[in-house]
Amino acid sequence: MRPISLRAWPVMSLRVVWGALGILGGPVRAEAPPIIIRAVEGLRFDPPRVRVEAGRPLRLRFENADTTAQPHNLVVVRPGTREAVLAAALALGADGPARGYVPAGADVIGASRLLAAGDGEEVVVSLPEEPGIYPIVCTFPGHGVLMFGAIYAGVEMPGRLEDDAHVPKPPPPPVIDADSRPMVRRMFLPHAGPAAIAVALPGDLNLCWDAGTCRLRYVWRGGFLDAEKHFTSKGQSLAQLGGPVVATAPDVFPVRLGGRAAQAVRFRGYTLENGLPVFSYTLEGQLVKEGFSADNGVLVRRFQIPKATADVDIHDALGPSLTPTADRGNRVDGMLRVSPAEAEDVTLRYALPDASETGEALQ
Amino acid sequence: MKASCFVFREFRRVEVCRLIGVCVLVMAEAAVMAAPAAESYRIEAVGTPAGIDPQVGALDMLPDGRLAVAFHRGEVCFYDPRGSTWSVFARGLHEPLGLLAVSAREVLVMQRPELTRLRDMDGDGSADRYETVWDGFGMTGNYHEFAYGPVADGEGGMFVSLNLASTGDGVRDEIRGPWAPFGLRHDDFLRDWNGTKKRISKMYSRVPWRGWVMRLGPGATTVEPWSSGWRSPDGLGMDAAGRLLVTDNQGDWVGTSGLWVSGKGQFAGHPASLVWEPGASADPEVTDPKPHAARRTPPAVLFPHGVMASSPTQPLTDTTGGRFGPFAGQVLVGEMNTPRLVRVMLEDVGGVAQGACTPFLDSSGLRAGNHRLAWMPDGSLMVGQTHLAWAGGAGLQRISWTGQTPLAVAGISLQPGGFLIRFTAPVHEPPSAEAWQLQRYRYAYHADYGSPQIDRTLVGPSAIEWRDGGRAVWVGLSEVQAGGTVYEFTLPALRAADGRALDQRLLCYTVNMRP
Repeated sequence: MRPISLRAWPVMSLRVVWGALGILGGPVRAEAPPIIIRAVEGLRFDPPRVRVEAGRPLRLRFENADTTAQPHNLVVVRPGTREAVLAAALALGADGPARGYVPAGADVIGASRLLAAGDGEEVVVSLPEEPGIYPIVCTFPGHGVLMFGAIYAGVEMPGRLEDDAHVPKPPPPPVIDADSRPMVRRMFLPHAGPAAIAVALPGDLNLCWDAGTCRLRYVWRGGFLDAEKHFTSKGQSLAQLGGPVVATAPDVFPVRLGGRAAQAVRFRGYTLENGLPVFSYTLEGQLVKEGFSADNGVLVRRFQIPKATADVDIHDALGPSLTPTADRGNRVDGMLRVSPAEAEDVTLRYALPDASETGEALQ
Repeated sequence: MKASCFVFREFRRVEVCRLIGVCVLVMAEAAVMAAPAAESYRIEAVGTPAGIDPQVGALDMLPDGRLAVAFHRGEVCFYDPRGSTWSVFARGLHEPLGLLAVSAREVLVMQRPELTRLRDMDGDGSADRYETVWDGFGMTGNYHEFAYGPVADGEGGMFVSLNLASTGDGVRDEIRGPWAPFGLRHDDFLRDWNGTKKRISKMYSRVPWRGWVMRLGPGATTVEPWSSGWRSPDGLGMDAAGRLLVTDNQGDWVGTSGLWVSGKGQFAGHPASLVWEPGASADPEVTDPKPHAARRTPPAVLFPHGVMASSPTQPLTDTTGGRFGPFAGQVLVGEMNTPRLVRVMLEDVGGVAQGACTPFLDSSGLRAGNHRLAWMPDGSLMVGQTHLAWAGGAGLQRISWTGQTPLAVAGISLQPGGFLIRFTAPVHEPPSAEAWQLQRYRYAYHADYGSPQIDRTLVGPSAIEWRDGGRAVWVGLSEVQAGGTVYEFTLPALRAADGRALDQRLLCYTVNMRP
């Protein structure tokens, strides 16, 4: 087949030519659509391998779909030459960018330009006649160690990716963090400030503590978190909650000393008692400890406010019908009022709705 | 951007002779540039604990000889090199990127939201207290707001540093800390992000102390701003003279990556952070370098982008007293993009810190993604790798000196009229002046992302004099340009009498001051 030089032609012209040749019964067979290979986040090709016939022109469409906005190329090389091509690409040094990081040499049998995220390009590779495993690799500096794959031309591929030495080891399965409760994880969480802490309690209750504002934000039932996107992207993603929110704290600071609104709130950290967190913060220097656990689906919230100098009011309701039972203190103006002696240790217990009882869940 | 179509003919059909010539040159260059250092250094992989994402955020030695390692998904583990065993000390941290181990029961860790003291109060081997040491800096929730450190300052205090935010993403509606008092408001960022991001610098600072190095006093009871003008100051360390070293990464306002000796009150160059300077009265000018150029402290050593290092990380001074080879007192710097470290030789000229860099262990089996470094008790170097969502690697490698001294540049000094370069061993049959390749260039200080090499000029030495029995060479130059000019040497293929080849031929000296 006589190849056609089309370097200067835009895509539309190419399609016209291929189409015309098809109509004329020319040397080009009926076009299969191009095989799409994408660059995705985590420095991977997707799919990492394709199976084609040897000795025929291979139409690839390379798309940079990396949501982390990295540039990538796709370079097809002769069998067994991936490492040599990567070394040659590195040796381009300051000439790398002008060449799209594609080294010269016969080992490279096809290459795309270096594409920005969102860009795509069709690459036609004339595969040699002999069957073989033709590596594909991104030669942008540093990528090729992880970002490679293979074109199996006339050769069978191993069934499982795990058994294929020509593609990177597949990423480990997502870690949902839900298997060993209780668990505390600092993370970007929805509907909270950026300094948020997720807590998985025994059973199926989970909560969001906002360390920036030192208060409980909400409680959700079900799985803990899916933070996989956060860990594998540049970190701009929020973790996803593993179930619907069943209670949301009102937008007021819950602890009032001597009848006044809280001033100068400072987060002091947390301790773990049998894995359960006890958060510490100070209000104008007065220490407050607020710990959480769960008991048969009941949320348990324990305040320990040592040596308070006045009565403490706790705005403890987590919604219009979510007022807890308290083991001490009195209800005053919809809040729980405890004396300094009582404030040393007061425990609240919330019977939270099942997931099915909630209204519209927070997304 | 419309896709264009390439048809690639098999290369062997086109301009064969020229391509073969280029191939041979590239391969020869590669062979010479990447001389393996296998005889002088041994590199071993160190297995990381099962079930833990092996990207390393931080390393530090415990006094008991174990290594504390912080991993990307928030674990702090202890590694015992004697039995190659691991234990988990803490979990659930948010992107820990710095560790300072006090004891086996107390470790300081810097994570996105705060500097935390982890304490094992009941002695069961895992932390049960996560104390907030310092969270007095702002967070917008932007992904690029990383936090680094702490590094002990040798006087009971610690340095930490805070990354700027990036216009790769916006800010959240709930933030921590006050919004910047001047310039575009939080509301502008939320309502009109597309419009706003065209009017601000590519990396920005809208909440307190982003883009600053801060110093915490003894006991962390006080905190003071130390230096400003940083963009992505991932690497903090101390040099042999007790000065703070900081690396920053090529990007907007940073023409090429560099290593700074950062003194109190200095401004490194990126103006976004100046909004938090005590006494600031307006949003800093973020398009015109003129208001900032005069007060900027340039880096002591530039890392030419794409040539030496493209994403430098932690600087670590060789404090092994010779157990890691002939580079005691010099600084090793991690590099993410290429499988190498960088070795820095600093000197003071006219009171100004400057010096040279050269690759270390390039393409010798070291992975890319070299992020954190720590000396083991036996003088070997532990290297932790990461990639996050950028170029890099993952895991740990341990580098040991075999006892055989490589033939290498031992030091380089700028003197009136030229450079004196010293070697670790006498050079055998040194070549003539014609074999020396030297070029100079500089980088621009401007708001643009990176800078090309400017005024690149070949330099012919006026004299080459080998001295001290081949242990040193004087490279005389008719003129030496200052102002951040890089002198890039491609040293000749030198050999010692026993056949040892020069380990690295690339050597770049940054001239800030002439003697």
